[in-house]
Amino acid sequence: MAKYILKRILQAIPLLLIISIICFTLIQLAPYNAIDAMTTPKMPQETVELIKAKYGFDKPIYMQYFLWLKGILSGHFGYSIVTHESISNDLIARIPATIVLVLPAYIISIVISIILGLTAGANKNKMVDKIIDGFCSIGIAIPSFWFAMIMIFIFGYKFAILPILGMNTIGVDGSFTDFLLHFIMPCSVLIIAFLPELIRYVRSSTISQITEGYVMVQTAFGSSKREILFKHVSKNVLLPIITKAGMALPMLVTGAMITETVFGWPGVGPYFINAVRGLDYPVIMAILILSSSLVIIGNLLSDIIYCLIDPRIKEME
Amino acid sequence: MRSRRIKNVIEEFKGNKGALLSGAFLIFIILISAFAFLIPINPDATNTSSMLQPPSSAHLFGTDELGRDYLTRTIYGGRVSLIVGILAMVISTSIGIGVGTISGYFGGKLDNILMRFVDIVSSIPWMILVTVVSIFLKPGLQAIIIVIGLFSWMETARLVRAETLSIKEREYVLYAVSIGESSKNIIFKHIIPSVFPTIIIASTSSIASAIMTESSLSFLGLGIQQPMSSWGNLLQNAQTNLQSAPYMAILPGLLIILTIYSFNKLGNVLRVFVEPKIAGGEG
Amino acid sequence: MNFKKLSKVLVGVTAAIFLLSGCGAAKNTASNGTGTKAKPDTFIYGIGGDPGNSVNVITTSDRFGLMEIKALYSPLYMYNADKIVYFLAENMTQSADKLTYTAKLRKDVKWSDGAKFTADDVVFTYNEMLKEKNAGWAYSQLIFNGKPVKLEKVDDYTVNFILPEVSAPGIELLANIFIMPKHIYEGETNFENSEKNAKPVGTGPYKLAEYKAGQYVKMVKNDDYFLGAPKINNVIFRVIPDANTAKLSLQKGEINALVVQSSDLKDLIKGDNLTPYTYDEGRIAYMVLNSNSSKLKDTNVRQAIFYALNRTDLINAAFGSEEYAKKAYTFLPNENKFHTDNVEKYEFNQSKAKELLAKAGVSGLKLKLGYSGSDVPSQKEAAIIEQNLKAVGIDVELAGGESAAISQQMKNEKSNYDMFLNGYIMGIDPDTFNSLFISNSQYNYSHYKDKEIDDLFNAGRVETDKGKRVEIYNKIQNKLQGNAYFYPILENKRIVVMSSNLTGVKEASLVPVYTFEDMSKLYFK
Repeated sequence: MAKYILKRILQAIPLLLIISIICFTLIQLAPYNAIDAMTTPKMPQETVELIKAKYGFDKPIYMQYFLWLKGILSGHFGYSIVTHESISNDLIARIPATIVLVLPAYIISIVISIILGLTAGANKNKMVDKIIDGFCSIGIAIPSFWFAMIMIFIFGYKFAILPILGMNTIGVDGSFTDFLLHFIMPCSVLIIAFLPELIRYVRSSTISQITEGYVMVQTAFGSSKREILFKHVSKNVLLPIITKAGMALPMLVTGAMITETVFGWPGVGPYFINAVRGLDYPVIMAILILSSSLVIIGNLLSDIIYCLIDPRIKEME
Repeated sequence: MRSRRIKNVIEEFKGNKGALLSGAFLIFIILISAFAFLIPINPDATNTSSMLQPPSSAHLFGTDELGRDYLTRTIYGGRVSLIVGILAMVISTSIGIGVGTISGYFGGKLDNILMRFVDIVSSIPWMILVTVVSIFLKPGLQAIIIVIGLFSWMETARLVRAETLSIKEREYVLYAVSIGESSKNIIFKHIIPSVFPTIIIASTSSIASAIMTESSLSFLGLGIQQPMSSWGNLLQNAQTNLQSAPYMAILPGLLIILTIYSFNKLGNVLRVFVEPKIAGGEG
Repeated sequence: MNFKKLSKVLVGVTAAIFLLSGCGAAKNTASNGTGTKAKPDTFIYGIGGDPGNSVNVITTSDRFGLMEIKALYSPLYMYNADKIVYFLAENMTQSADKLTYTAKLRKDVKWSDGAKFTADDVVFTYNEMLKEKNAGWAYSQLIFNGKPVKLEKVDDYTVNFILPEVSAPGIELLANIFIMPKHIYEGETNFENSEKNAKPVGTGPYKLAEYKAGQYVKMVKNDDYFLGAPKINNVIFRVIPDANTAKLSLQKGEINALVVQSSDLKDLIKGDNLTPYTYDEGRIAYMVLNSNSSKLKDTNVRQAIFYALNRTDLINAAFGSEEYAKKAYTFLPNENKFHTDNVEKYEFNQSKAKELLAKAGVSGLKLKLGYSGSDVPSQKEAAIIEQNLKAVGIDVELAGGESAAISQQMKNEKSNYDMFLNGYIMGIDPDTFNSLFISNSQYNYSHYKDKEIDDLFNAGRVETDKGKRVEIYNKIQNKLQGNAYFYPILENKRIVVMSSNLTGVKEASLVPVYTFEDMSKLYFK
């Protein structure tokens, strides 16, 4: 087992390198750079050149890449060209904010999707299924930013019962109620975004499980439909869900970009979009490496958990 | 075999009201977009004396912040969104078929390399790739079609590869190989046609997701630029005027939802075309 | 694993996350924030960007960083359109030969760590700004014809600024430079990323209390402020990148002040809980033609383009009405003492435009217009320009883009763009505009080299006779408009909407860039 994990990790490293090279090249190929984004007509040419030299823009591209790589390997993400902040500090401040928003939303979505998906799958083509499936079809078609806009308008403006900005009201730290009020809308937007696909997934898993032999056996034994569903089928349905959840690991960092921007939630999303706009490449690269690593780790985790949980696979080894 | 499939599709349509409505809606939208030039109003004609007017007889859906007729802009916007969706789908499907069939058919090292490549591109969170590249390309219609097309082929490639792997073991393919047909011929004459039904389904959801992607990007300001309108950038403007003109947010939003929903529904119906046994009334 | 158990675990984890995040670390809480019945003791200003954690007087040059600097530090004096406002200096006098400015400093100023403010700090600050490698924002202002200004400490409270040559705008060029403490920053080589920037020691009306990246900058009043302790205990700059969210926050009372567009006013000013303040920033929006474009070589064509544009339309579209933006006919703002309207104005005249095009024998012209796609007024102006020019038979390709990309194109002499839409805020003295028009400046976006204009600017810089100076700048304005590469469109005002119970705005004084010249004068009714 340990050998397998090690092998996968070793395989991942060249992958990450290639990804970083591709992204770095793309950014460098853009016709302008971060410094150009910051100059004003009041700055003389010499100052501009000085600033560029300070950030190494006068060095050839591969030199810049190696310098950046060296920094990463020694644990320094470097400084943002635009805000002059240490990127590690910025990320340490922002990632928890994103996690606190995305994780509960995702977990709630999984719980709801399991319940609804099982119900829909078990009652295939009946009214319940049609309603749930209809909800999914429409849900997939709703742009999350539009939904966020409408919610802000209704709850934040027309009825003015929910705050619309940020994670908490200024000066009110540590108040859980205040946080919760700020949390409700962006969380709902995310849940609506996550649910349809998850429900569909559970539903089709359920449908294929129901035709399996053990269900027939249980029915023959006289177990109630509910028991079968929630005691037996759910376990088998859980497997692919866990796989999917593992692959959703990178969402803890980049899963809510648009929602965070619209609600002013101080997470990674707005930070990243600003960096892209200003071609702030240290930030872009840092987030890229972070999320790509999470994708790879997530896949690995899914596979491992899958192996651990499903005794059939263990037996096969 | 084919005619039975077609019969199943027609029956599916007849029985499923939702599918019928979706199909009708799509035809309606496509026709309106195609014949948009017949509308006498110019979508770009500004009129600073009648900015942000509510709906009236002169302007069925009011005017936007520069006095342009909103309904006309929405219709032209629909045309843009549809074009982006369809063309991006064509690009991503073509690449997907190409990569998938080659990878699946030739197997071995080529397969390995190509699949690693797919892994790499899939590992980079899509949002990041698209936003970075769209800064690099000059924002506009061409750029967004290319960007979306270039980064949505992976799923199709995987699907096609899986299908190819099973198809290449079929007798008629083995026969073709044994009589010495060139790989190119085999791929084009046998593999691709067999993969086709799967492609059709994948392409409808591809169009749907391309439209969604375009809307999100345009909303963020990275997609379609002024003065061209798309449903996404109309919504971006609507957000600024949400309080004084809330109706501006409703029309493009609804149209996006209906269009994506219809395309997905269409895909579901076409699924019947592919898997006749499901239509047989089982399960 | 049992499903029931799993779901219990999941619910438990979710609850735990909620609790942990909610309780968080009890940080130093400022007292209550928004809209309570008692007089609020916190002023919250919504800003569109993040000042960052490294604001320092040498390198910070962005609008939001400068706002924070203004609250934490003080300059010797501010040079405004109508007068000089003194801060750390009591007065500035000029020597008879006009080469030396003497600053008499206040003797009662203390740094926020208790040390006394003296001439050493002033000399230190200006000298660091003069070191080229520090890449200070005011470096070029302190260089006169290639030679730096010299600083001389006369005594602990007097400093001499010795210019290498006479300069008419000299007093303005020495202004608005904030002073940093020598005893903190001495020996520092990297101002931009210095750790000392995280704990600023200044002489401003407020002190830094807390900074949360991407969220806010919290400041608390400096009781020892030399112009009198501020009445409002706390000031928070709240970072809100999305303009619509910011607007809603203002309406709900979550923030007390915000810069808005004129189109937002009708949503905001309902009832009397919010008050708008408009003031001049000296910002001119203009269109510039690329002299290297083959299509624009004929003066008749260029003039035709100018006559085809309708400034009223442009103003209405971008700023709602002439209440918020005035027509601009030259490169100098309307309020500027050297401004003249005695130039070729190119008032809207469609028939004349068509005439000129016919005279030039040109038809079916296609031009490419670059502008910043993210700037809303520019977007609207661009759409109007397209329609205006279409009406005379010119096709315009609207090529909006990221401001940095467009900026690159503007500086590039080989660019294939024909026209650009942009805006600028320069200084007060007309000489501060020279970099926009002289022959080899990278900011001369028309790339048109006119030696006469170069000579005129050089003459104006050293001319001491007021009457002769006015003549010189009149000539420049005339020549520029005659060359027909630069089309000034409008001069827009800045609109800040604030909670109505916020008073003392006039005393705090609304100025370009920083918004408030002295926040200590603000208080809640």
